[in-house]
Amino acid sequence: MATTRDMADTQQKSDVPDYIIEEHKKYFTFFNLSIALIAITGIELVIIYVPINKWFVFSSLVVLSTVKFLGVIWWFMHLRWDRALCTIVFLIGLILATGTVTALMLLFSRDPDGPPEIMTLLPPFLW
Amino acid sequence: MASTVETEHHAPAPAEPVRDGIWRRPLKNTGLVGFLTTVDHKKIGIGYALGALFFLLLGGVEALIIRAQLMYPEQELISARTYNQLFTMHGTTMIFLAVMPLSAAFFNYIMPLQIGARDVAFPRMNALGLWCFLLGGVLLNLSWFFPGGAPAIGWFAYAPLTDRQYSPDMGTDFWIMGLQILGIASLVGAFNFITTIVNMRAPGLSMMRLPLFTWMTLITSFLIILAFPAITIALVELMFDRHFGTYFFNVEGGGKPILWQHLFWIFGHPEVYILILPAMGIISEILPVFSRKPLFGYPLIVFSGAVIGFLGFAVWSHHMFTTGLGVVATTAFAFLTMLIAIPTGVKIFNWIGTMWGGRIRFTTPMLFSVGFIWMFMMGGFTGIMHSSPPVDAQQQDTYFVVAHFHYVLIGGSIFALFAGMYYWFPKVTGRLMDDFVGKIVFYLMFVGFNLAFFPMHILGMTGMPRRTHTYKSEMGWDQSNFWSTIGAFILGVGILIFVIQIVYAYYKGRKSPKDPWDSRTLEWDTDSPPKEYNFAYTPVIHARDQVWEDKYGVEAKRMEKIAPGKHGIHMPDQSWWPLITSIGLFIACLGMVFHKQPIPLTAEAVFGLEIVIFGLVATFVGMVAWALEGPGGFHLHPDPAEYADATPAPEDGHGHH
Amino acid sequence: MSSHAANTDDPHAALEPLKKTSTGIENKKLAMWAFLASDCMFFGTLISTHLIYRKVYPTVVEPTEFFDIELTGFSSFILLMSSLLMALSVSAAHKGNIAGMRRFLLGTIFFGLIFLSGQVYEFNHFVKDAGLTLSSSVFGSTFYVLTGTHGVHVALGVLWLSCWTACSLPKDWAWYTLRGGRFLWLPIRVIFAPMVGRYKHENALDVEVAGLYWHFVDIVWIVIFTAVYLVEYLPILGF
Repeated sequence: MATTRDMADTQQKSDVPDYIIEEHKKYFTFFNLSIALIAITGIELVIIYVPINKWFVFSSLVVLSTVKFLGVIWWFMHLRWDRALCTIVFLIGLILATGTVTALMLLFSRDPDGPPEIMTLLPPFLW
Repeated sequence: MASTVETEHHAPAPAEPVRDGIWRRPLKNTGLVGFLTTVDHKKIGIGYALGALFFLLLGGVEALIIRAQLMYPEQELISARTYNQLFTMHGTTMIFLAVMPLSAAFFNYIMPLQIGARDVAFPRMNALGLWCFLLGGVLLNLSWFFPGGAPAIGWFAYAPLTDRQYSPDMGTDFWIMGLQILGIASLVGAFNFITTIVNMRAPGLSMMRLPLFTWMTLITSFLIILAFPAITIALVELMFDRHFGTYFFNVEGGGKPILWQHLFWIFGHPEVYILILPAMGIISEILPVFSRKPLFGYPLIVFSGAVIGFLGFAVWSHHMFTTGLGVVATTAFAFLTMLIAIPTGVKIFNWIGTMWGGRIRFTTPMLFSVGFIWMFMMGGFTGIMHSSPPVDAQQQDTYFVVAHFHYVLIGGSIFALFAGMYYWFPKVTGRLMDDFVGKIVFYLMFVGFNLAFFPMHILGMTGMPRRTHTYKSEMGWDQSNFWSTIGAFILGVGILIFVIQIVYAYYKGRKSPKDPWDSRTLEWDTDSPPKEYNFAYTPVIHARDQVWEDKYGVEAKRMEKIAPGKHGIHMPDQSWWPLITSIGLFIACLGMVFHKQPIPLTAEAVFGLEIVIFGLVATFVGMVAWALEGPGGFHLHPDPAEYADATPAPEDGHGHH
Repeated sequence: MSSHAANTDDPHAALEPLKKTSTGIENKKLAMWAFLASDCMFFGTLISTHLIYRKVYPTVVEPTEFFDIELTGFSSFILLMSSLLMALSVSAAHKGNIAGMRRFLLGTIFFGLIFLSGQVYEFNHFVKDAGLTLSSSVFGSTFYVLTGTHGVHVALGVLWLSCWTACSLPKDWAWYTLRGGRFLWLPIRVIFAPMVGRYKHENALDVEVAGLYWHFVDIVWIVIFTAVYLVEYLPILGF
C-alpha cells in the first residue's frame, strides 16, 4: 500500500493526505480514458462504412473493442491499483469464456438449407 | 454453556436505540426459530446433510423401483412413462439433491474449521444457499402432484423432446425452474467458499499448507461458478422456448437441438468434476490419518486437482461423439479427454504412495476410502475406453455407460462421502459410530454395488440400451438383470442400515474425545462438537499437518494460540431474510411453472406472470431488508480455561475474526 | 466486523479494517470479482448462442435494414459516460466527499436510464416497424434475449445505485423522501425512505463493489456493440 496511516497522520497537519492526492490524480486518468473510449467508439462507427478491405476493418474492430474492454477493467475497475489476485480471478473467467465462445463458433457451420418457413406468426411477446 | 453472551442489542441504555430491520433480529439460537434464522456454518452444514440424505433415500427408492421393473423381461410393473419419469427424477435427484449438497454439507461444516475461521465470509448468504437448495428440491418433486406428473426427459433433457409440443405437461417446467433455484444455491455457496478460503485463513496458514479437502473445496467452487452460468442460460432459453415462443431449440423455427447438447455439456462435464473433486478431497484427508503418514506428493495432488478442473471445461463434446462433430473436433476432444487420465492417475498413485509402508488401520472410513480408490479406478478405466470415439460409438446409450458413471458416482463419490460421514461424525455430534456395524455397512454396500453394476458392463457390450423400460427374453439379458436387481437391493439394505446407525449413534453412541482418530488437521483441535465460535483462540499455523505436529512434531512446528481480546469473539447475528428471500425466489419460480398452465386450483382461469412478479418483488424486498439489517453481530466471551495456554491478544484488535 | 469500522470520521481509516484479510483484498470485492468471472461465462454463453445462429443462418434477416447504428452508437457513448461518472463517484467516496459521490451517482443513474430508454425505443421500433419479434425468426429470439438480458443487468444496476444514492442522503431527508410529493410511487418511497442517512465512510467499499458491477455491464455492452451490431455492417463474414 502506498499510504500507511502513520504517513497520513504526519502529513495531515501541513498537507493534504496522500490518498486524497492519489484520488485527484485518478480524476485526470479517468477523464483521459473516457475521451479515448469515446474516440475509439467514434472510429468504430466510421470505419464500418469506409470502403477498404473488410477483413482489415473486422480485425480493427476486434482490436479496438479489446482496447476499450481492457481500458475499462484496468482503470475504471481499478485493477491497476488493486492486488493482482483480482485480475487473476477475473481472467480465469474471461479466458474460459473466450475459449468456450470460440470453440462453439468453430463447431457450428452454415446450414445450406436455411431456416424453415415459420408457419404461424405469433403476436409479439405472446405464446 | 460455559461462556457468557453480551449482545450489542442489549447493551445498557444505548444513546440511540438501534433498529436496523423491519423487526427485531432473532436472537434465540435454539429450537425451530433458531434453525430457520441460523447463520452458523455448522448448523447450515447439518441442514445440507439432512436434506441430502433425505433426497438420497428418495432417489434410492426411485432407483429400486427401476431395478424391480427390470428384474424380469417383459414386466409391466410400471408403465413406460412412469419408468421415464423415474429415471429422470432419479438422475436429477442424485446429482443435484444428493451428491452435490452432501459435498456442500462438508464444505460448510468442515472447511471453516480446517482453516481456523469463525464462520464463512458471508454467513447470511450461506443460509440463503441452504434454503434455496431445500426449496429447489421441493419444487422439483412437487411435479409429481400436478397433472402430467414428473418430467420424463432424462437428466440431460435433450431437445427437442423438451419442446412444448413433445412435453406439454408442467413436469418439464418444474425441472427447469427447480434446477434454476438449485443453481442459485450452488452459486451463492461457491462465491462464499472462494472468499472464505482465500481471505479468512488463520495466520500462518499459507495456501500450500491448506488441507487437501479445503483445496478441493476451492477448486470445486471455481468449477461451480464457471460451469453453472452455461446451464442457467440454457435453461432460460428453454424456458423462453416453452413459454414465449422463441426458437432456440425449436426446429420449427430453425432452432438447432444440438445447441442444447453443447450448452448442457459445457455445464455438464465440469459438473461431473464438481461431483468427484470433493470426494477426492475427503479421501486425501482420510488416507494419511489411517496410514499414519503424511499425504504423499501433496503439491502434485493439489496441482492435479487444478488441472482436472481446468481440463474439465475443454472436453464437453466427448458426450456428443456420435452426433457427428467432424473429424477435427472429434479428434481434439478425444485427445483432451485422454489427457485427463494423467492428473487422475497421478492422484491415484499418490494415494497408493501415501498408504505404502504406512501402519494402516482398517477402520470404516479407511475401508470406504480404499474401496473408493479401487472402484473409482474401475470407472476411470471404462472412462478411458469412452474417450476413444470409435469405442464410444459402440457404447453410446448402452448400459456400459450406465455402469461407467455409476462406478465413478457410487463407487467414487458416494463411497468417499460415506467415508467422510464416518470420519467426521464424531466431530459433528461428539459421538462415535460403531466400527463393527460400519464395516457391515461397507461390505453390504461394496458387494451390493458391484453385483448391481458390474453385470451392466456386459449388458451394455451385448447391446442393452439405456432408458428402455423393458426387454425381450430372447436377448439373453435375463440373468444379468436379475442379479443386478438383487445387488441393488443389497446396496439399498446397506444404506438403510447406515441411516439407522447414524440415528442410533446420534442418540446412543459412545462419547467421542476431541480427536478420536489421531488425526492431522485443524478441525480436530477444537471440541467435538465444536462450540458456536469454533475456536476459543486464534490458531497460528506453522505446519501443514498442524495437529499431528502438535502431538508428535518438533517444538518449532507447534501451533501458537492467541487469546481473544477484551471484546471477546465477534459473531454474526441471525436473520430471517435469507429464508424470506429464498421463499420469494421459490414463489417466482413456481409462478413461472404455472404460467399459462391449467392447474387444478384454477379450473378456468390461467395465470399470467402475476405470481412471478409477486415472487420477484418479495425477493427484492427481502434483499433490501437484508441489506438494511446489516451483518449485525455480538460478542461472545469463552471460558478462559479454553484458552489457558494462549498468548494474550495484541492491544488493538478483537483478535482474528 | 464492518460494524466496528464506523467509529471514525477519517474516510481512509474507515476502510482499513476491511482489508485485514489473508490477502489484503476486502471480502466483498473478492466475491464480486469471482461473480464477474462467473458472469463472463453467463454472457459468453448468451453471445455465442446469438453468433452461432448468425453463422448457421446468415440470411434469415438482414439486420442492417432496421438497425439504427447512430442510436446504438449514442447508447454506447451514454454507457461509457456513465462508467466515467461511476468511477468518479467511487473516487469521491474514497475521499469521503459524500455529496460529490451522490451527485456522480445520480448522473450515473440518469445515464443508465437514458440507455434503458434507448433500448425500449429500439425494441419498440424493431417490433412495430421491422416486425422483428421473439417468434418472427431465430434472429429475433436470440437478439431480444441477449440484449434484453443485458438491459435487465443495467436495470438492476440502476436499482442498486439508487439504493446507495438514497443511503447517502442526509438523515433529515428521510421524512421528505417518505412524503416525497406525488412524483414517486408510494411503494418506492416506502422502500427508499428507511435507507436515507445510513451511509458511512466504510460503505465506500460497497459503492466500489456496485461500481465494479456497473463497469462490467458496460464492458459487456462494448462486446455486444461490436459483435451484434457493428459486425453486421461487414458483408464479408457471410452475415
